[in-house]
Amino acid sequence: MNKSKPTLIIILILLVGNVFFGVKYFVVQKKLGQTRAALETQKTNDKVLEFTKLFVDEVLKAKTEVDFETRLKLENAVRNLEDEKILTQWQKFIDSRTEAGVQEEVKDLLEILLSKIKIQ
Amino acid sequence: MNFDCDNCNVHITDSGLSGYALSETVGWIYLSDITNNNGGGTLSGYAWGENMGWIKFNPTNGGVIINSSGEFTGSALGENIGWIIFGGDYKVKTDWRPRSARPACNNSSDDDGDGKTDYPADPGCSSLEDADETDAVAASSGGGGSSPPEAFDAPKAPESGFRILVNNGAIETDSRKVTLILIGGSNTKTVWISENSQFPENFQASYNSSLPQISISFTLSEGEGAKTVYAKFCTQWGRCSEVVSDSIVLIKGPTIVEKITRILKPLVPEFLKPGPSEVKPPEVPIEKLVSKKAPLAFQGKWQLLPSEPIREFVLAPLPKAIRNLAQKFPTLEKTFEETGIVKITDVVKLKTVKLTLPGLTERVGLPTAKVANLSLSAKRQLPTEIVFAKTGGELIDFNLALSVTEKGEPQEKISTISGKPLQLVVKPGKPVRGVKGYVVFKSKVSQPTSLELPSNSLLASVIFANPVFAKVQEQPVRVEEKLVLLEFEYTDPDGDGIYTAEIQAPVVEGEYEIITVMDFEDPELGAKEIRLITVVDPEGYIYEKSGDKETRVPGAIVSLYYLYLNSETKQYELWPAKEYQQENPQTTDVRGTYSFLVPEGYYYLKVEAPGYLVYDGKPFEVKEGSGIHINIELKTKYWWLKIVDWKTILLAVVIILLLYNFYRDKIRERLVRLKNL
Repeated sequence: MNKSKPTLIIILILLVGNVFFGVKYFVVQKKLGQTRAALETQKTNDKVLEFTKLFVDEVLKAKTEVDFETRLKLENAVRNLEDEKILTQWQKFIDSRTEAGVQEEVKDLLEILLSKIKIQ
Repeated sequence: MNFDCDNCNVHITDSGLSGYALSETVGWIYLSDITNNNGGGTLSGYAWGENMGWIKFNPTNGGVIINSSGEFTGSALGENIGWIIFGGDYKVKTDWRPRSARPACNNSSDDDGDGKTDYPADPGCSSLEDADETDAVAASSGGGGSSPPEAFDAPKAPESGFRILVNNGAIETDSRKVTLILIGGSNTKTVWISENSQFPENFQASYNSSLPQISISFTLSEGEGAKTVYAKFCTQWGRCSEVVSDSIVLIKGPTIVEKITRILKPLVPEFLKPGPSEVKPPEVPIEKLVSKKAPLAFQGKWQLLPSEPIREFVLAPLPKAIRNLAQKFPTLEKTFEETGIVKITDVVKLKTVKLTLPGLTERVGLPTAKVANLSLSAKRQLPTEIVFAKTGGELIDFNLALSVTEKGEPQEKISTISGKPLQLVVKPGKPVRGVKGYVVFKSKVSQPTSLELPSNSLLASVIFANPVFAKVQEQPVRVEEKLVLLEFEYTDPDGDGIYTAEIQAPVVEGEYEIITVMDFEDPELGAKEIRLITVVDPEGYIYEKSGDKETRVPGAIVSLYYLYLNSETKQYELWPAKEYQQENPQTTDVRGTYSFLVPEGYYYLKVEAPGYLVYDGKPFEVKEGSGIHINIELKTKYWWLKIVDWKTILLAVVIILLLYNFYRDKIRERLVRLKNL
């Protein structure tokens, strides 16, 4: 009887400890998930802004033809965004055959880019 | 320089070297495909060191030779590190031998001139160690040999052919130890097994031809990847079959953790298991996606952004309503020009900039007056379709402010005090059947006013001669849809075309809208509505502070004094509230509230209450007529008593008594001492 009592107490403490740490684990996991999501959003924002800046500097402000190296850089940047919608719109912009068409596609591209930036 | 390190994997053939050597000072040296071997052990060509550059193996005055013992001798020349000497105390040795040092059946040359080279191609060779390629048949036919005729029979193939199976034909294995199943013929005596089709290790296993097949254990070479095991089946006379092979992929075996994971995996609930990993399509090199020729969009020939809409947007003039306002008020126009408010994009500046304009009463030279007392010509001058708000028996004009909405439309706005009377005046532009008004709750918090436009008299508002506030009513005010607090009618008892109404300002503070609907007689005109934003401020109150809380003081007498400029003394006098339909002084009720609606001027407040010190406020200026509703704190006459509570007093008394006790003790001691003396 005397021996079983401390054992029972230890088991009880361990049980409570397990429950406590279990709950704590799930809470921390949830927070981790939220933080990861926030970090991901931040990363996406950064990448979208970086591409938008590149696009404005190298394409919209370009006075002459955009060279191959810059186009490679732009293509890399747009693919790095890993966003199907932006990539599709980018492709539409590149494939434009008329001035009016390209102006429409630029507007749509800028609209999509801005809509991708999330403010928390 | 170490040629035998873990990952060196140096291999020497009759044609060249492959693999790496490792130097502890200069790192890796790449030998493959660069350094050539002429088969006789003389090396030539170059090796490449990542930190030492090219190393020539046959330089002038040097050269590296593998001698008959398999040792590297001589010297190579590194372009950056100079001579590398092979030999001496540290030797590089290989199991490869120059042709001249190898047996005739393993020297890659047709020594007997029968067109067949080495073992097992040359029937004269019984093994790689055989030093004579001479054909036994030819020898026997020439000189008479002792070999039986079956010695020259080729190995007999089984029905299924000679075969080797690694792990019974499995595709992959995670262990280097495998089981080989070998199927030979009835006269098969030995089996050669190797991972090299040339069988350089000379590993042979005996074959029991009485069995249909035999199984033996075999250890694969190190390193993951596809492994091929070759075998050839030979008779006791050394005649061998063609080489057969089987392949298996050696994969990395599971670690202890992986093994445990594998055991525990079925026990993990489904929701805790990770989802399936996404399979990414193979990536196409970016260079292939971008054409060398720039697309039309990148050729710089076109304007990528449409210039016309941008120009229209940027250079569009101010909204008509604001332009009308500026035209009617030259000072405002000048201010707009100086501050650069000339385009529609500048309207946003009006939301942050506060402009103070001179009162128009002085400019127009018209006095403040009651509507009923205005002359006919003044009534004619009264701008149409503008709602004016007055109080204090029409003697006080409300400070009419102009606010610009999000859409850039000007809006009327007044501020009043809760529960105070409000007189509304409107002059319809055309004959009306009636004018109706609604008080509608808008919001609890008022929006900031962008542009203060003083109008200290009704007639000062001639700047609104062009009606900019009245709008065609799109749909009637529906009581059930909005929080309509009050519905009232404007009246025109004297028939002068000016409609008036008197209402009470809502009691609850907040922002309200007074919607005035003019129902024109002309059916084409229909109905127009004018919206007047009314901000209702709370009344001021008298309070006493106790800690963080405020206690309202009822029964306090609040007197308002004003600077009577017309008097000779120019002293403050009690404000004549009765002229403005109000009371002065006011006695606060249980809520401790008071308020005054006053015209512009200088004022000060005095508050008296029994048990409190008299509050004598500082003079302040009221501009353009507005409410006085300051919250005033009163101090009690015995305020210092509140600083110390009864506990502090009790403690102080105890301390004093103690000190007095000590003092008396000292006196007593001194007296006793004096007596003793």
